[in-house]
Amino acid sequence: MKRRNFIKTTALATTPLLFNGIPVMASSEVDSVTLEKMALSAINCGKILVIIQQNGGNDGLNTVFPLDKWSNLVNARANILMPESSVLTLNNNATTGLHPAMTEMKNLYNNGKMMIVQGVSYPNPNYSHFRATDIWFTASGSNQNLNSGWLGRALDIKYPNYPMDYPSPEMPHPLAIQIGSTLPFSLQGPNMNMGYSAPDPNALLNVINGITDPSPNSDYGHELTFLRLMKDQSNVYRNVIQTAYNFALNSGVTYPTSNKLADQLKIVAKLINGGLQTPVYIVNHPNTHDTHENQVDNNDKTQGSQAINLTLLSQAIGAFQQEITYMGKDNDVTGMTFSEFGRRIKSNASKGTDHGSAAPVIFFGGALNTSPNEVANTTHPIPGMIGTSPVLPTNAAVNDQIPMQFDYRQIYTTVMQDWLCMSESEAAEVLGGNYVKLPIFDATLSDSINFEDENNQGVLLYPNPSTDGILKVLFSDTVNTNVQFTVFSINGSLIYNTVEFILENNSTLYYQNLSSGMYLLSIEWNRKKVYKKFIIE
Amino acid sequence: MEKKYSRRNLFKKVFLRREESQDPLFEKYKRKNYGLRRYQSIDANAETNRIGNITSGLTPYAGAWNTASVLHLLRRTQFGFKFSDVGPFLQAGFNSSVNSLLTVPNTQPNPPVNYYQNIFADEGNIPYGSNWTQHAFNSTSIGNTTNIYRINSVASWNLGLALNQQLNIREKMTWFWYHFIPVDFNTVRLSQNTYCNTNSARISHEYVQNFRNNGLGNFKTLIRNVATQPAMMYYLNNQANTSNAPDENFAREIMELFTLGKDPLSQFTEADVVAAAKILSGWRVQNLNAHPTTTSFVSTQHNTSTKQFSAFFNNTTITNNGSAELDAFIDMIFSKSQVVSEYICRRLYRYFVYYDIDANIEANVIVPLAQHFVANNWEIAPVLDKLFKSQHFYDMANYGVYIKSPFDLVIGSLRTFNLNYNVTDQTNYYAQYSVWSAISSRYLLTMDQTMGAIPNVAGWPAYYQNPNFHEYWINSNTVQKRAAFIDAIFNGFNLTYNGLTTRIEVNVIAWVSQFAPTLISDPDLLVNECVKYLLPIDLSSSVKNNLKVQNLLSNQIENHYWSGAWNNYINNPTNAGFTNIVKTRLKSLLLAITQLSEYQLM
Repeated sequence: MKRRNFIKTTALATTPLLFNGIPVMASSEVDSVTLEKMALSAINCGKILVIIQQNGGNDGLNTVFPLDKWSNLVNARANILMPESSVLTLNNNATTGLHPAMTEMKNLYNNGKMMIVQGVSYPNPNYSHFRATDIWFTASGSNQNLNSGWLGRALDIKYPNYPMDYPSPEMPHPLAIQIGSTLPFSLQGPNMNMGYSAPDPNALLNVINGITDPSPNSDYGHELTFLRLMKDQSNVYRNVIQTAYNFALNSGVTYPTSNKLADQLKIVAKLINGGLQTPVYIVNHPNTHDTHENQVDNNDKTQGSQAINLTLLSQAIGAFQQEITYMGKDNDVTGMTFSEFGRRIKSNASKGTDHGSAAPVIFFGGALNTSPNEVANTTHPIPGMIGTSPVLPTNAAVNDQIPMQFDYRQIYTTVMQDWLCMSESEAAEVLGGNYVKLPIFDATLSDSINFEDENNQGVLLYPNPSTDGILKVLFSDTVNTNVQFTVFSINGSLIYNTVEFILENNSTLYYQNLSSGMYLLSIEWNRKKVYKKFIIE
Repeated sequence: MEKKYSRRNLFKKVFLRREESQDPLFEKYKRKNYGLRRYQSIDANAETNRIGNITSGLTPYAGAWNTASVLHLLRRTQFGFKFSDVGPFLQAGFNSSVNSLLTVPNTQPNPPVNYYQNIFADEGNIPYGSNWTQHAFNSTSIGNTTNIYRINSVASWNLGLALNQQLNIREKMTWFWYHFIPVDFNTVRLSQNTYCNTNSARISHEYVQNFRNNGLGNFKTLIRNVATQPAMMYYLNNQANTSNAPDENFAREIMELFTLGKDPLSQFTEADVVAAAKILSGWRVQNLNAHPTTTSFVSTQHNTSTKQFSAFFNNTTITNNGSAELDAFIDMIFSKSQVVSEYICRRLYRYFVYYDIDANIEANVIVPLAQHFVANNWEIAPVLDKLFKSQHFYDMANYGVYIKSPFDLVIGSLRTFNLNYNVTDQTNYYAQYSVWSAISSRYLLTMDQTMGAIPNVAGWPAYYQNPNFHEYWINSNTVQKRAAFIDAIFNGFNLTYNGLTTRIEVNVIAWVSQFAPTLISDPDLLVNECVKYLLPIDLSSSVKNNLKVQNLLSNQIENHYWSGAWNNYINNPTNAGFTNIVKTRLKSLLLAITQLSEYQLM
């Protein structure tokens, strides 16, 4: 019987001193400034991407309005176009406005927490939902068929040998979490899907809280419940997810009700707050954006199905971002919305729009390259926007499409390199070629994390250097809460990640298994985070 | 060296297993209430809804004969089902279908062969691709490694037969007998008896073949055969049973596990075990180093005293009568016809129907079935015929309650999804046996059920172990392995041996193409059809709608998006783009359905 094997024993590697194949350089004689920069850039890789899929092809022109081409819009789509005065205007961006349902997102934009990438598409765009979705998921060219998703390939490169070697000390959490019962094609790796599927927001809550789904009151129902619970509860990631989910989050943020997107993002926020290192979350807008007819209300064109969709989106994102900011993870979490295509410039007679091509992709978060000073005098000088408001014909014909400004794979390569810490060549491997990065993320961010002076940061680490790997940690104030200690090698590879409840103000750390050298320690508690260096002799 | 299992050791092993089985999740979620069998459909208003007791019995089934009932019969009597078997059964009707399942041909499968020559040359010079089952090693030093390869050959070959089973009950029945009266191949090999290390594969093979050839025959004859089957002589060491030092191992198990059982009516005593051991003394395998190997009676090793049995056996005495004592002993056991027949019927019931036998089922199914068994002079086929044609067998209360064994899940899924478990070149024996072996070691083994390996003499706990029976297949490890298996066959993997690559990947387009074209292009009907065939009980319409929207429609709401995609593919079957679009969505749908816990039930 193999029954004795039922508890999966994951051997904890004692000293994983390799990260992405880079050996640890543990000599204090190396220029420490360079090392610190390396370490910080590696530490900054603990980033999280939240992807919001807007199924059905969102009408970009009825989301992000080209205010500078209003008469062209009137000529093309008078039957669905709202009064110009209804469009929300944006700071420092006279060309562009937002749908009035997007007040929360307008505020994010005006606070430098939103980035619009205009005119995203690919050459020879496809107008079939299925094909276009597959293209976005697989990062294929228009005439190319791939059997795996771009995120699946990216995660396969970053985390080789999944699922055999996971959870691992370096990656104890799911590689990607999808809220929804079907794992998306985008997460399909070369050999298997890399995602962890949480069936739907309520089911995830059920899994997390150990509540069963209803099943009939019969023998069949009994066996079904037994099997479901055994499967859910024995999942290797269940405990870490439950622990993360149960971690208290008292942000006071109120999420909109009757908003299934907000329900999903609320779970994502809780998991992030609980310390999950999962780099990718995928959520789905609950409504279709396939608005061939009655996209707007007859009497009030600011209302209608498009307004409903964008209200759900904007309110959900607004609450989510507020909560992320409260957690102090503003610089660690970025959201990205996309739809498989945009819609036609010219509206149809049934007050809708047909399938189109290019559309804006919207990013949100605190780590975006939106500072006016940074973008001034660059190719994309409008803070919060890459590209220009779309060029529209004066009198759009039925077949006229919004011109492409950026290939969607430029966005992917940027996300992989500047957010998920992959190298240029790795990104090229995923995408089957090189694409030019876009200045979406704030490149100066890593400089903002500093090692504070030993004397004024409220935490003392001693003896340092330590000869036996034992270090005392002394806080200047009473702690009485969970504190997360994360040890990185000097090149940024994560070595230990532990959470300890610290009573009063001191504790002892046991790092006897570390070889001699310099290490970085991040100490996180009560939404504070300090970095310390220590040396093992 | 592994020790053979004395009674004490067996107890220890069973006890230890249960000690080790303190899987906290299992302990938390296992069934805790018994004897309250009931049925309630998902739709609370359905006609079939019933919360009260199950009262159905052996009256011939007179209800609908539809896809659901055909699939129920097929899943329980085969490993999985083939779509192509459903139509003919629907057509043939209920009686003929059961009749044909119980009509087992006399034809012998091609024997297991030397597949291993290229990695280890057969020490008996049996050529590559040739039958080794009639070759004996007359040596304990030559043939040891060959014997290990031959054991692998038997195990793989048996899996091959199960995968390629015909539309009859033979393979399912073979593994019923194997687990009910088991020998563990490795235990026999490691038995310290001379020549076992070089010849055990042959007698192990013969042991299983006895069940395959006689599985629907006479139970009493089967027991008489098993008592002197060479492999059993070593497994329960009656080989060591001597006149002055009787070994009680087989003597006990033939009563306690193989015929009388230990249900309340079975009151045989320790003294009966001692007396039985004396009767069984003297039987010896004397020519394990030659083919055919037989068990003969060695009177000098036989205990010649008068054997006195307890009041349970009406104080029967069996006087010294040499080899004939064994037949007298078996006659005496079967004279307790109620005990034997009810015990066997319960075992069959738990293998084919469900484990929770409440008072109604005992009275309405087990007792009359046992009487039928006795009335038919211990013939097995009439018992199964009665059961599979009974109202009770098709009672909705029995649909979907059965947790698939690993054989049901793995062999069943491979068959149902028409996977390439046979290599393209039938003469590439190494590739063929290795593919079967890989299926066994990668999947069946990790779920705790393989051919030729048994945890102990009582069989697989799922079929005998009170109180949780079938649930013992599931623990926090195996439940994940089951999910991983399903992932694997849909994501696909290659098995390359001897220059031949076999791709195991469900061809999702071909699979749904078995349905009528009008059912495929309509996404509601398609989901419905997939659920009907893959799950034992229908899902609610809202769950089916979600499956449709999330998988076939990629979260769109209009059905025509799927219909259009499918028609594009049908009209342009060689267009890679159109093919990929439907393939991706069908894979997602079928994976979503098979990853539901409902798929683990039948």
